[in-house]
Amino acid sequence: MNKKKNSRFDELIDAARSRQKRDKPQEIVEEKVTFKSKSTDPNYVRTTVYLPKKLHRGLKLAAAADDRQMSDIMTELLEKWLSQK
Amino acid sequence: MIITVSAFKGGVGKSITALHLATYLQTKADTLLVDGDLNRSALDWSNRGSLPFKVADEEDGIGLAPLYEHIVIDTPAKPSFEDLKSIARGCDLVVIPTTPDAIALAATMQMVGLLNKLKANYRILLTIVPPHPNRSGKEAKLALKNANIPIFKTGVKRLAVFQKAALEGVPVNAVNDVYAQVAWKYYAEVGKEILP
Repeated sequence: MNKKKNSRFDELIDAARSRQKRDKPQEIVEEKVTFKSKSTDPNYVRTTVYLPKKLHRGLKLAAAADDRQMSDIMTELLEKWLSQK
Repeated sequence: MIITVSAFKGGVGKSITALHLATYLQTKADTLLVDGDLNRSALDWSNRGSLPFKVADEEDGIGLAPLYEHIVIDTPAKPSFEDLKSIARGCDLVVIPTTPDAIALAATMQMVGLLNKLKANYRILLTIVPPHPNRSGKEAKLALKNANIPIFKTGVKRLAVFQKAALEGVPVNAVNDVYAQVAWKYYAEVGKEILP
């Protein structure tokens, strides 16, 4: 489907993509269509909470170490807590 | 990053938006603005004044695109479904400028329907928002939010300095006008929402 040029923008976008493929593997480009960052996903809201500095630091370190987002960790914990209530 | 600025209706500040987003992105890395608009508004600007980034038409854009980190594509006023399909597939973000009036919003909703079908990553930008006490900007924002449509927090107010900038062929932040920085701040904020 990608080989068939059906829009005047195809060639342009492919050319633009050709540079971006340098740092992104091909499969991700294909999946890109369904991927949404939380900041643009209407199913997510951004909120502010106050945490003790040390705890925040610990969370950040743990998230970085596990290569996870702080949001995902918080979501998981909060869901667990809420389901136990 | 590849950003496409597109709208079903003309006169909603599409070219101005593309131009100022390109101005913002240029502060981050080399940026190319591709003018796919048959009116060639952006190319016209670049011929008239001096823009801080590179401007090309679609044909030249194909050759130049691989050389630039950020690409902003300004599409014609009513892109075909096939065009939208390519855009949805190939772009990181589609920015849809719309004025907060019923006619433009109806056209925007039509486009949103198609983009949802194509699973595109898009966001609405309210432009040419009339100043206080007119509430149409706030009302449009609320209506879009309630419909769960992604929208930029920042809206661009209607300011005469945008027309002045168009005349001089420069982005608003290069115009000598008391409102120049106010106007620029709108797009700088929008830019930050895209790429902080």
